[in-house]
Amino acid sequence: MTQESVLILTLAGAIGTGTPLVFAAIGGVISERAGVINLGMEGMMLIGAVTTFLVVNKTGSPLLGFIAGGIAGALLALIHATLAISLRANQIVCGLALTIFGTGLASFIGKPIEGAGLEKSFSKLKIPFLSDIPAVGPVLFKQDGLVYFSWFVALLASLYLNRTRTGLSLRAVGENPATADAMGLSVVRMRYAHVIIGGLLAGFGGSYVILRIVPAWSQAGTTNGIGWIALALVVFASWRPLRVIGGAYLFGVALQANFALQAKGITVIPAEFLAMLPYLLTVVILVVLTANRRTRGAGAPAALGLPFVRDER
Amino acid sequence: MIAARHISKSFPGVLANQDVSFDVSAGEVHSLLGENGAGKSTLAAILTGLYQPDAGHVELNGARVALKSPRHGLALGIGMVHQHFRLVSQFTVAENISLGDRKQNWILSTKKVEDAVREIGERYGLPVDPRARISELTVGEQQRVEIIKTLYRGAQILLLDEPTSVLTPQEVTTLFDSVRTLASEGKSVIFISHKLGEVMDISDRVTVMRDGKVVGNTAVADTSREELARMMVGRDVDLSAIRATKPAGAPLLEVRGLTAKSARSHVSNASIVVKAGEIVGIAGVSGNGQRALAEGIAGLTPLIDGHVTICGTDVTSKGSIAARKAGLSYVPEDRNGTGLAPSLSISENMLLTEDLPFLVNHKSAVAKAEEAITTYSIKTPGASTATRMLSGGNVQKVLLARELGHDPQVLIVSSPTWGLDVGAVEFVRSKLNELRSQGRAILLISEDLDEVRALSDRIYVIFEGKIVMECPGEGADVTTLGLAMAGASA
Amino acid sequence: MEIPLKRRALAVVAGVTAVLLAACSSSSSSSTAAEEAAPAVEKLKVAFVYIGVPGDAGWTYMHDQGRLEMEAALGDQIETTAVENVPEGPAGKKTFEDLARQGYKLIFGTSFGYMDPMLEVAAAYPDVKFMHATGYKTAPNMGTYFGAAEEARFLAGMIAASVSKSGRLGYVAAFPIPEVVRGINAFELGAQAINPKATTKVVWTSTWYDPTIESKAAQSLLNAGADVLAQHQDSPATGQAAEEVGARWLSYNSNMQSLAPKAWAGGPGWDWGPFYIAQAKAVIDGTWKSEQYYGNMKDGMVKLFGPAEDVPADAAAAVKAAQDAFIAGTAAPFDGPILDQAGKTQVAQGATAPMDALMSMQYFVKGVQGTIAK
Ligand SMILES: Nc1ncnc2c1ncn2[C@@H]1O[C@H](COP(=O)(O)OP(=O)(O)OP(=O)(O)O)[C@@H](O)[C@H]1O
Ligand SMILES: [Mg+2]
Repeated sequence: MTQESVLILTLAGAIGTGTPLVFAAIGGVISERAGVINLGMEGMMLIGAVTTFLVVNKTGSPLLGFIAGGIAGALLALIHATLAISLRANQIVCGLALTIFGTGLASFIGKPIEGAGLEKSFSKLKIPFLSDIPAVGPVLFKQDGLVYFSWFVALLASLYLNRTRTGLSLRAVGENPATADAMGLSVVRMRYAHVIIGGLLAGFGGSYVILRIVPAWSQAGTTNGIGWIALALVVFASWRPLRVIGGAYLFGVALQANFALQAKGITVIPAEFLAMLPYLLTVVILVVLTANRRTRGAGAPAALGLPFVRDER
Repeated sequence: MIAARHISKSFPGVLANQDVSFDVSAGEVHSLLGENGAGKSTLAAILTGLYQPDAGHVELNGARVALKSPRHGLALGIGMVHQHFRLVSQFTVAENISLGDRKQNWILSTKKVEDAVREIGERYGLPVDPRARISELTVGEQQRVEIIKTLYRGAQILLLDEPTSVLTPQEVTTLFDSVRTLASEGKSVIFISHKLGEVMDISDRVTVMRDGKVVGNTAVADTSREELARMMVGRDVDLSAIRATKPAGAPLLEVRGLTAKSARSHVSNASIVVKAGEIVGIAGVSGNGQRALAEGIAGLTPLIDGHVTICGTDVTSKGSIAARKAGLSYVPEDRNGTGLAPSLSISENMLLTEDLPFLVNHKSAVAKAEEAITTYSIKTPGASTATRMLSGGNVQKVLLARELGHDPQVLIVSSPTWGLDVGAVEFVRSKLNELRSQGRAILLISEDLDEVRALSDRIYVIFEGKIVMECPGEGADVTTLGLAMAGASA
Repeated sequence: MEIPLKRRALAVVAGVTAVLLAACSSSSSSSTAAEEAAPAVEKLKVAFVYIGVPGDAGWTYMHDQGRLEMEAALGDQIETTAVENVPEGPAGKKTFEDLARQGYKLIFGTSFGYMDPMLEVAAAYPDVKFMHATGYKTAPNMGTYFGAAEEARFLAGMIAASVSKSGRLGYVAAFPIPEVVRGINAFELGAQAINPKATTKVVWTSTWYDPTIESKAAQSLLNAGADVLAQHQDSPATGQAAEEVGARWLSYNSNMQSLAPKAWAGGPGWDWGPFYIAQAKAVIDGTWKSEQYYGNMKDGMVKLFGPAEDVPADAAAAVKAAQDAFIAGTAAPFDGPILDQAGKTQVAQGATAPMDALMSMQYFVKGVQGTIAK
């Protein structure tokens, strides 16, 4: 074993655990910033996971698997977009339907690989020099390539939303679609594009679970609800990509806390309670954030969940 | 410069535009005048590419163009400032102006836009801080942003849909200066308004619409207010002052030391009396506590201090139902919201404030709604149309019909003629006058000084939540009132 | 014009949902097979009721493997179906009833919580035989079955101690029930047979399958210094976590070598096939009777996968010798003397823990670090 301290190991581990959440929640941020809630996230993660598994075992390339997982998530998101944007169906209803559909579909196409093992995956990539920095190095720079990629995605998403022309349009579409429309932006096209990007990222999140957390496929058990946590994280991060990273890693640490205490032999707090801790923590932080006047509703897109109809007065 | 050629447009049950043609030349300010629901906003929407005409077409500099979208229109130099602003209130001014501008680099640089905003602001007298968030700006400033937005995109033709209805008299003057500068640079301005004085003041030519058709087109120099009013409604209108003919009776509404808060409005220690057979005006620039005052009286917001008595019943902080029972009706200015449920039909909206039996009799409600539609000449396909589908002025008529239908002892009306055409204004005024002669008490809250002066027997001026002046309506001096409204007399 | 559009959209959503639901249920292969009313040739219809899905390479997977073995062995004589994702408790009752009504004559329920519903349905269908895994209630037409996994757990503990450098082992435990506690104790006792100083640190996850959580639990044990991990859940997340840092891993249920090839050192598991075949034959022959069957390594219900190639030869030989002794009946995992964590004697020198003590085990043996929540 290495000689790193438990704290460093815990933090490093939290990053791995948080990474699927980072991908999925940034996907959620992008889709919701365009005004479309995506409750189908869990389904998209599962589809991403199963596709990755199949493609890796077929081609032997984890990279191809990862990309395919994202595409699968994006395809499922396309269905959501069609229902929610073109047909103006209730976003909550069709998101839920999509989670059910995604779960069922993933189980169906995953039949042949039940009980099989993933044949190839990524391993950790030490970044030279940076990984030698004490404390910071082992926490941040001894991760796998996908973790670095997730940071890149978050940074890119943040710059995209805040610093680019398209990002500005995207935000306008989520805040006030009638205005965006009047400014000649295509609300429909913008929403489609970003719901699909959201699905792509959710698919990546699912891929990560298969590639780096559990190398086997077990239907809904594979993600076991982290899609919903990602959804909560979107709110917790007040729809900001960089905050998503903080929230996801915090969740990772909180998950670890339960077992770290148990492993240390500290048993005054019952395990059942500790098992609730990460969720409780998320709720508490949400409540605190909402109680604070200045951060209340910060970032919540004004037109979130509302279909856009031009002719309506 | 821009012309409409035989344009027709219909909505389910309505012919909003019918064979409409008109011309606007460069450097001209052209007014579109017409009753509520005449089709002005619809025509403007077609000229900018927001709606597609069912028949006919738009011509630009003599060439036929098919405007596909507002973006397309803007690219061709046609910009519009809507009745309801199209701004993202969470964005800054510069961000709103950058929105949808394809000439921008993909990586935004707000600096350039900010400079441009300042420059346009200076040139046309439209000062605004480019870094301010829209939600922090006054309505007048927001309107400037809308105008700058179109100018920034190089608009040569500017459509303004009822731009003055949200402005204070001072702001109207500044806006008109800007419009004149624009025209002097060869830009065309299409100006939609109900206020004949303004139309006479600012425009070169006027096109009058009625029931979706053009009924007249004339140079301002060749016409008069009265003639325009006649063209609009098809008969003579009389908007001269009307006063009580009988002496006022016993006080029906007594407000003592009222202090209340509502949304962003507050009023402190206001005392008001309205007697039977009296119209009392509350003059003031909007946002000076009118809303808190009205809602405090109507029981919609709890009083912090003070007393309200309606027809001898003390209704202080007893809620809106008690106030209603005591004989009060309240017509708020925020029509589709506080006043009406926008998605409900006209007949359902008429029912909202009634003491309903458990089972609603829809038939009689529809009959009642239909009666109101005729007496108030509401333009609508039918009683079952949702009120949000109606034009701005017609929404107000529905609300008035409902509230006056209760035959209230005490009536509070807030900006009752805001956005109404002259015919409707005349109708509302005569309605209020009729109530007065029946011995009812009316509290008229309005920013429109002309209206307050024309109707009121007594006038209070409200400024920053306080009643700062009281005077008789007969012979009230505009300047004195104006100064008091601006807080100068205190 | 916008109202019909909304209606249409709703209809589409409803339609899509229906398709999806259909997709979900068709993936659980089962019930449709049950309705294909094949003309009643004298085929024995056998049903399996699963708490989860076979896809997990874990508990349900192994039962389903057993079902397939049975089909292969008995061919035409039988016809089987499997119903997945059946909830425990009263909610599961309907499934058993449906199966009995559809003419299934032998029904296996593979989760503890099916006990009471099965008992009720068994009373209503006396001509149907019910077999309940891991339970303890019986009826004239309902028996129970389980196996002495502790034998294989003990051997896994021996392997773990032999590949551990530090003697500090970790155990990712599921729920604090006797079955799990028994496994942990057997594991530690086996480890002590190789290295008397070996300790086993336990963390509870309160999950049967949740990779995210189980991998966190595994990481905590590794961070706390364990270099070999064992587990009771169905997901291989623990193996992945061990593989990641070069630690070792003892899997459970099935042969999970391929899931973390470098970490894998072996693992206890099941083979339900022979038992299922024997049960079906007994029903066909008319010799079936209600019993509480407890399988073991001798009859093959309990198995040890491994040891892995790189386990030292002498250790592998010791494992083999212990296994032979279990099979021969000359030794048992819970042979005394056994002390609990507090140092109190639970099984005396020369004695062996009796069956009921195993079935209700609620203490940790000395050397286990952790507590059992009550
Ligand atoms: N999107 C729409 N759907 C249905 N009816 C509409 C729609 N837009 C306008 N109408 C109807 O078309 C007619 C003309 O409306 P328009 O808004 O053009 O009137 P306007 O002249 O601007 O009136 P106002 O002075 O009251 O604003 C009205 O009867 C209105 O109810
Ligand atoms: Mg209008």
